[in-house]
Amino acid sequence: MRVDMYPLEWIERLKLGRGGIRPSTPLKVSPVVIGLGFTSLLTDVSSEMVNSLLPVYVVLHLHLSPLQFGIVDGLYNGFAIALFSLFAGFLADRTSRQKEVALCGYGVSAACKLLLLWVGTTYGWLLLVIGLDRLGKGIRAAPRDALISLNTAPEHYASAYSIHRAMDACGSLLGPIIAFLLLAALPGAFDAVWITSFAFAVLGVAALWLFVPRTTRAEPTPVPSPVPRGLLSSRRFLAIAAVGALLALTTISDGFIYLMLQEKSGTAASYFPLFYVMTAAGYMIFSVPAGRLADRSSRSAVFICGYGVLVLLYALLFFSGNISVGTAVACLAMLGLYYAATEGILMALASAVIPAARRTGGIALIATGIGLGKLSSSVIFGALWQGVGLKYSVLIFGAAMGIAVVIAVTLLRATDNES
Amino acid sequence: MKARPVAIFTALTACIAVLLAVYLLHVKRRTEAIQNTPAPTSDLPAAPAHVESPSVHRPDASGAPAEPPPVAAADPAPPAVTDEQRSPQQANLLFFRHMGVDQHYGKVAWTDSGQPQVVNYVDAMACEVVYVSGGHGICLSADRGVFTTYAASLFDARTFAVSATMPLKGIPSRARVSIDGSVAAFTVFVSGHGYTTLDFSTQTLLLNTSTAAVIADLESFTVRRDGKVIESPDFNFWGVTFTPDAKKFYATLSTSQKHFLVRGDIATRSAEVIHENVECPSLSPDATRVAYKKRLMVGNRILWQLQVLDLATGRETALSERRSIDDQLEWLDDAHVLYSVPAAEDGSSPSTDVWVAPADARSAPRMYQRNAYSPASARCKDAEACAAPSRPRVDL
Repeated sequence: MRVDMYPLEWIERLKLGRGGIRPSTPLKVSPVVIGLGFTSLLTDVSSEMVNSLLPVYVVLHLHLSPLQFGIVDGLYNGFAIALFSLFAGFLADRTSRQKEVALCGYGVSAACKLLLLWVGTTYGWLLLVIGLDRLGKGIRAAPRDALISLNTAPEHYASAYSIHRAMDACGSLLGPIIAFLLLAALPGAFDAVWITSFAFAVLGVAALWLFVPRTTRAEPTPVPSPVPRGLLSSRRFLAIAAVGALLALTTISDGFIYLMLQEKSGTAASYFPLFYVMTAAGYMIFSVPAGRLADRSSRSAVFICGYGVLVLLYALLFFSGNISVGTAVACLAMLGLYYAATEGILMALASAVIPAARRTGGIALIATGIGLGKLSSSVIFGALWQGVGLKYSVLIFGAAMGIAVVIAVTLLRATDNES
Repeated sequence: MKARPVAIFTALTACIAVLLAVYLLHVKRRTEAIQNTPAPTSDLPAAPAHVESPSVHRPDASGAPAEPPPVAAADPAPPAVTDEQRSPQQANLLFFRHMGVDQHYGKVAWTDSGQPQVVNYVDAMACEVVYVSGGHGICLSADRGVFTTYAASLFDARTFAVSATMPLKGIPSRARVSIDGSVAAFTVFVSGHGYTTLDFSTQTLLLNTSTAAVIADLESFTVRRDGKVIESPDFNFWGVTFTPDAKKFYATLSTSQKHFLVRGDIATRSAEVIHENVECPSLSPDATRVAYKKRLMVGNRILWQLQVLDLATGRETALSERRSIDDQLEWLDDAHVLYSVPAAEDGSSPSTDVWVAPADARSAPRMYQRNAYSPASARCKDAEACAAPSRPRVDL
């Protein structure tokens, strides 16, 4: 059997981490995880600065009237990026160069910030730069997550991911605020915003370069083919990948939730960025507690609970009429809690079953499934919205997610004993 | 191993911080220089409008469209009390957003066609988009803070006194006021559905200018195409233009990747599709033609060709403008249209200029007003509404 080719340690550790036996070893966060956290923090400040201002830039500075360039391009790009990140993941494993591949991804995104200065009024070029930026994001995510787990003891995977995600969320919280403050101080000076964003991105790349050592733990086992057949024959891995994709498929994208909250609470739509910032704040605050809880009790339980929170949020959105601003804030906190309990935890679940030599590719595969699930979800939700209206689309998605959660519990339980 | 990376990172951070600070300081100087650009008569008594000596370069009047054709050569001191026969009347005033990179950047400005080189600035009024007609004006403004918010204000075109202000749902795009000044319309871009994607929808509202009440959101209108009602949540309306009686309007309806010209009726809350591939319509003063931008796909790029549609015959005429123009046209008179064009093609300048093109495409477009955006060639039903804004007396 192919699985036998790999050291048994990961299976041993998996066994060890089950059945109530919980590590008593104190949590020691590897400086590598902190380094990666800084990289993500700085990079997110950089990218969210740009993202939060792009609409204003396009309409008020370039005097363009953009409309509906969205969905077709989004699908096409999403698919291309998914394929590319898979390839990058397998390449990273094969050469055992996660750090270099991640650097490449961060570097591309950093360069895009500078390119923004030159694209000018051509909307097509602007979209190209944004696409390139997303590509960089696609390339870097899997090797970065692989580096986190490769530098952490398996019993602390969830904690390590949660610390990284908290720092990441902190960056996406600060980004829009810095951007808006900068523009308030220097009216109309978008070049100042792009340059500042570029400076943060460069620091992010530098943090990765300086604080994260090259992978040594993963022995460069020769991988016969880029397709991880060993992985695909692991039922546990397949279950996790399926669960991730299925739940993503039934998740309503944040934009639609913000829209509903805004309509129900009667707040001005110009506060959309604030909604985003509050979600990030919730994510940041709940991430570490959720991660530690997952390591101590059960990762799959915390993961499922996260989706339970989301189902609850959908129910709230469906049944409530007008809501107060306070309730809206509570809903955003729930959204943050959902992210905290699911995003990094799923990566921890996955990292525990993927052999080190195939970690990046395996994570990329799971992330791709989730990405395609999200993409399809927003298309389906958009179509449903046109058909039955916003309220009943939420009901349908809520019900679908309920079913998906039941399937997820079954799948995760069924493969829990697999060795 | 431990200390060195930290030291390098700290040094690098310091370097970048210094470089960034220098750059930001440079930008700050630049913006301050703009705000402090000396204006010869900026210390005039506190009045809503300032008069400026020529900071505007007008093209030589060698070609017909360069000068507004219907302007009488006489001294226009009390403007627009002549030719009552024409309906609507021409105020001979051009209102616009001043785009010159100086202390008046972003402020409302106006010129009188009798003295086109004299630009009057309304420093109290900063707008992203402005429009004036029938003595009433609408200003869509941006308030930049930790989070930028937007507002629409209705104002009196002679005193610039604001009568009402309402918050906006999105980024200002277009605004129009009917010739009698009774109804205003505006379009904003709402970029909400996907915060991290560049996906936009529009909202277009009609306002009663005297009560400031919202008459309707165009999305609540019943739309018919070939007699059949069409509806879809992906309806996006933009670019309203009113008929002279202010009872009907034309606008663009975008749905399923198509862009229809619709004619709407305010009283019945209904609209019908009358043409395809028309964006940002603008009805001529004589109400016989619609000037608009037509979407063309050239390779992967979207280009907008300016066109005039004859409403009676359905005949389309391409204007002589060869550049791709993304603007709602404004009729200067029955024979000429105005539109804004970025001053630098690469977007390096925040400035735009207003150009004029003949509606019959017989001659080439020309620069009409430098450093201007959102032009409004004011019209009115009665002479009083066409009166020029009050301004300090200047000895010329």
